[in-house]
Amino acid sequence: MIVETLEMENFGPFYGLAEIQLGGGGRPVVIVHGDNMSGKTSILNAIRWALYGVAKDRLGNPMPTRQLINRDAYDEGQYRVSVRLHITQKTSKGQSKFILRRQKRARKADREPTSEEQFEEYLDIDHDGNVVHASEFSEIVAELLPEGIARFFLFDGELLDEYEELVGEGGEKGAAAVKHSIEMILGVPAVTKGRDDFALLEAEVAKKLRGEAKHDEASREATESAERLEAERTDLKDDLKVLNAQRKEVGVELASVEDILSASVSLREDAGALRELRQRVKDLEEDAATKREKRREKVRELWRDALAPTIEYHVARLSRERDATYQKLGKLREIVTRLAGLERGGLRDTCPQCGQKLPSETLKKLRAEQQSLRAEAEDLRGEADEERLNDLTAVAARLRDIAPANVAEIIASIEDDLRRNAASAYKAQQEIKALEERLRDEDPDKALLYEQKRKQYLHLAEELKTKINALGEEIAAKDREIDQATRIIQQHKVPALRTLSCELDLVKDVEKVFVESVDDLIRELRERVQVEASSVFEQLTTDETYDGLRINEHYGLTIVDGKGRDVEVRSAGAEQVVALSLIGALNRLAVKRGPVIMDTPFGRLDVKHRANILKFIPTLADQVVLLVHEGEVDRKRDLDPIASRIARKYEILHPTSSRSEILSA
Amino acid sequence: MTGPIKIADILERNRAKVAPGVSPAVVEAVATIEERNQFDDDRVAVRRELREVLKNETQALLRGEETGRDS
Repeated sequence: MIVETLEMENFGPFYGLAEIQLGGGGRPVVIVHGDNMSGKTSILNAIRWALYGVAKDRLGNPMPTRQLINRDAYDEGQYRVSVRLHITQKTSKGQSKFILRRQKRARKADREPTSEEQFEEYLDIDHDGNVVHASEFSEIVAELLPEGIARFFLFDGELLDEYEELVGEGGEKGAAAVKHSIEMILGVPAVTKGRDDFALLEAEVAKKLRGEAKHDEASREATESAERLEAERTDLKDDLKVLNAQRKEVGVELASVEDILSASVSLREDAGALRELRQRVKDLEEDAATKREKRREKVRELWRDALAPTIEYHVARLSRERDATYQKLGKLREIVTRLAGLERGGLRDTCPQCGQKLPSETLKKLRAEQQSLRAEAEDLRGEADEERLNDLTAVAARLRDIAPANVAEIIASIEDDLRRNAASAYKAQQEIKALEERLRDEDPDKALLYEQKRKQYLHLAEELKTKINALGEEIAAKDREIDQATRIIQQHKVPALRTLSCELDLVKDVEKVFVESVDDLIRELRERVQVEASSVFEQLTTDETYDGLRINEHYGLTIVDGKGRDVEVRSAGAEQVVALSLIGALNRLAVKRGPVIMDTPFGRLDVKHRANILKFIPTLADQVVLLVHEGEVDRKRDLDPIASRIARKYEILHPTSSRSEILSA
Repeated sequence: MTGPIKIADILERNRAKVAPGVSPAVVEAVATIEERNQFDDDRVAVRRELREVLKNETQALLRGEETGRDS
């Protein structure tokens, strides 16, 4: 199946009519670039909604029609939304063309719908130019791409989360839906439904046989016994029906409570996020005000940059002068100390230490030195001034405080900060708007009330399960007894019952074949999935020490290293590569082929893994639509190597918060 | 290697193992019906088709028994 064209009217961010050609005429890949919140997921949702009538929000919950309609259109009173898909399907005779359209509109066009019931659904089908009745819509869609396996074609982050849950500890229960879908896409229902069909046919033929055996004397006792057992079994089955109905009701209630709880959790998260974002905007505004004030101050100091060269010159000069003064001061201190020493000696004729008389020549020299030092000290006293030294140091320091100031650089840096601040504030404001829209008319405190209800329903569901299991065992015992009575009837070989007896043997044998084949098929499929997933994994992984993947009974895949050991810790990126390997394997082994539409699939991958996956993607299916943002896939570096496989490129522009446009890139 | 597993192959293998008396043609016929209708939740029409196969095969078996007895 190929989706050739998608046409949307007032769907999500797309106001009025929006059309996108997805058919590639032999080239499998279509790339749609768009920023976050621009409408990429809406494209995936539009296709899902057109086919199955369900669009999902970011938590995977179904979205009400009101939320699907473009906000501007809704505010203008256009209470309608529609999606049309042009589809080509390969057949044994060539190909068939389908046009499917789903539309929802207000029952009263001029009145705003306040609930889901006030919307009406219209379905149109055109098959090779012939109009088909709307009642066949679901059947045609199930033939094209059954909803149960759509998760492997309409691929979003949710699938990865579910898959990671599947392989995670204790996650089997939560990922039961994925396991069921995997078995569906691989063709297991052909055998399980066959087994169930033949079980019913066997009961039907046996009943007919026993009905006919009533007329045979020899079989009467066995017939009566079988009839009594059947009546008892019917009662048990009636009880079982009642219990199953109760269990179903409890399941529906539980699901609804869990939906509300999940929405409440999301509501609480949204409310928390809104509070944080508002605080962030406030902080950013305060920060911006402080920075603006600082900028004003700095502008007033710009003169310092102009004076900087002059000030630097004077600082250097003063420093030199200060250094010279310091040296002279040191010299003066030395002279003063020497003079003091000479004067302490009094320049007497005798040595003050030993009392010996000094030679007259020595005395003369000392007196000459004293005179010279006094003269030198006199010279230095004018310049070696301590006060002057302190003044020079203080003035140079004051001048240094003024320059170099780099005021212009500081102002430029403040302006950069202010620009970043404005961008962050704008982004936060946009997120606030989106959150306010989601939180309109909601009560964030209902979670507590529903948690109690959830516990009650879980308890009730457990009780019902125990009763149902016990009844199931009783019914199985009756089945065995009825089977025994039927065998006795068959052993009598009544000629009139020959045909029915022969048919019963045949139907039992065929049933046995189906029963035996279920486990065989699942085992074989698991082996094939492991081989194919490992082969894809080898193409995608960048780690050469990995040897492949090992599958478990829940279709969880573990990376195996070169020594055959499980690699237990793996990164989020590795999880994504493993999940993509499984999807690649399932697409190779699928009983139905469809377009693969991937929403933001490369979020957690590094450049090398992304390159490997992009190389692999054109081989994944006949049609692969990638909905990506700029940070995920670079238009040149990432797409040039697969340019020959790309049919079309689009860009989603998001000029306002409520409108997006799709342009051919 | 690539491509879906043929259900008929698995069923035939198990026919030979657990019900060799059943004709391979019957198993192939029911496999085709089940493969074609595996995504169909309305089983009434499917069982009608299966009944037809069983009825025809039963007739063939009975005819075979009679032929065997006569010869």
